[in-house]
Amino acid sequence: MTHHLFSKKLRFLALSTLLSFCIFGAATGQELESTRLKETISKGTGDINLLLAQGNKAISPATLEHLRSENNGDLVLGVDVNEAASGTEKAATQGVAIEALLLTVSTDEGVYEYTNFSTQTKSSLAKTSTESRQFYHTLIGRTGSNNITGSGLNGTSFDATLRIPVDIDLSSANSVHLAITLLETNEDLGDPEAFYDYSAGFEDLALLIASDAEYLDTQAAGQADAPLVVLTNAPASFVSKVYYPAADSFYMVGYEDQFPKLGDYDFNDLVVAYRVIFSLNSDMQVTAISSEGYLVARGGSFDHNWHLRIALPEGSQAGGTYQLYAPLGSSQGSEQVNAIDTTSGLDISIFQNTTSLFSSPSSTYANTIWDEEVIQGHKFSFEIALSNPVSLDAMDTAPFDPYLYVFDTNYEIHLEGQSPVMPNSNNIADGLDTFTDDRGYPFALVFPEDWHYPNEYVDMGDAYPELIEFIQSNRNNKTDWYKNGVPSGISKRSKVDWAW
Amino acid sequence: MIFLKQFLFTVGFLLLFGCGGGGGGSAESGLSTNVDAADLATTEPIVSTSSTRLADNVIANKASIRMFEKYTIRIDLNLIEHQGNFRFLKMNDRDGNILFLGQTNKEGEIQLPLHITVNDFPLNAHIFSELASDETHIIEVNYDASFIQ
Repeated sequence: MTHHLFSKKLRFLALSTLLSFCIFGAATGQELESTRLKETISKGTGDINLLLAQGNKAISPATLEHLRSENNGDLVLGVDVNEAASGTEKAATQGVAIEALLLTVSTDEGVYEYTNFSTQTKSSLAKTSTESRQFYHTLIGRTGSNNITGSGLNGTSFDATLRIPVDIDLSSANSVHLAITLLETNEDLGDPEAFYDYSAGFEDLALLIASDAEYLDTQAAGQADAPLVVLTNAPASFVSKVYYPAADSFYMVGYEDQFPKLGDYDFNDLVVAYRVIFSLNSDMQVTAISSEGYLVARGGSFDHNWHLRIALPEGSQAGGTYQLYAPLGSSQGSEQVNAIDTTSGLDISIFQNTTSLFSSPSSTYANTIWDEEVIQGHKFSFEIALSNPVSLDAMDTAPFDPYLYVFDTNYEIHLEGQSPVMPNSNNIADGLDTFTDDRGYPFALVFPEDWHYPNEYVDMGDAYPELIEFIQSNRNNKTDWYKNGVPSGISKRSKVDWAW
Repeated sequence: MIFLKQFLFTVGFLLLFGCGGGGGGSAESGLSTNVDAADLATTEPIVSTSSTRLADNVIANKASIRMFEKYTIRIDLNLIEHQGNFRFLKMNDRDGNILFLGQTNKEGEIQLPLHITVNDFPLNAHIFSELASDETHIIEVNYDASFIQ
């Protein structure tokens, strides 16, 4: 802050604050509310007139002073973070970082400048063209959050708060301008820089009343999923994340659903993409588990439920919800939110009745017939919090237990090495508690996300001629066999097609 | 930036890296092994035919098509001298996919159980602080079958 006429402002502060309350109340007779500003941050910079609301409506200096007073001497701005996906940015979490800020208040008595500010979060980031990182305050949000939507906000939802301490009375201000510059991060380094970059998108701003500011801070939109978040007011309570298989990639699990009979080895009777994230505390203990994934293809006519089971240590307690999202145009509603029952461990039946959930209007199957019209599958996400942190060593290990329950046969199908878990399935009754067939092949396999599942009835050895050598060599040769498929034998669909 | 390429094996990898976790230990290497690693050694070759089709080839009992393996990587942060109050670690694979991102204990060793394919190597561990004056240390980790847990 630059102190111009500092001695004067203290003399007037107490009296003028009280006076502004009186003036404001008498003048407006209206309840103070949060107000969206006309000007926005665009392409990383903003020159914001804080006395001008959207629709060219004037905001009186008295109102601004009232807001400052109500927020204990801070001007508090709400920011609608509106970024294009980059790095691990997605609808559920987006972010930008602030490089610099200058608030200029002009009064008859002088010009006052403020550069101090704070946000709820910060991160250690490298500026473009550099590789040295340092702390920058960040603004995190998510798409379409419905946090505060007062009449003064014209429907725009806001995510994060930006606080600027101002120690003069604003009721006599002639102008109040905010110049703000977002940090241009070194995106070449990937996350966290790629996440906190800015795009051309507009960041809307609003002047906030205290209750709205507090509400946004409590909501902490998008923070749980954002990378390298350090809480400004609680830097010791950090969260680290370990990703399975990685922050921006998925496992692809493919099934042969004829168990225990031999299948046709196309491993496309059901194909699901999923990933799992452990959140860790400072002692490297797991405090929360989240996951997300997609239905990718269904090449079997049997009806299934697809489960994801992550064994928890005995006695562990956890709670959370999972969300099932229908693709655009689905007749099954856009979103379902369900509580997760963890009384017998974490075993979620995520995609239920796959033949009806994932059906193509033109085929018995979904996305496995060459040149067939492709359809998008449902996606899911879930988050659970563990009541007591669990040592990373004690947690179940990746790729966990993604398994299929087949209604037509009453069998469950797990990855090789897993055991049946459903007491009423036929597996235990029939003594079928392993999951390899008579030729030694598993009924379920996990692949990297750049594996393209074979087209219908195409044996995976035909689709991927190098696979046999990979197996013959005890997995020493042709380790990238899944990148060298025969184009006519494998699906053309890539991640951009199924990860909507 | 300080780039410490694979120096762990010349300096002595136990200073920075090792492999731990469950399973029986290998006294010779100090690294853990487990059933999965044993599988690799005992797998019998498949009965080979001229066909590459799985349906035409019978594989031995313990053969596997598994792509991902479990690796536990240990990092001793005592060897990194930073002046900042925070210490951050980013672990990514050869394509830049992030496997771990977060804060770490300022001192001492941390263990990261990862689940990756051989094609994801080399991995890179980036260790940095909140201060621009603290240079980012990058440690490259190349594939070593003994890291398999």
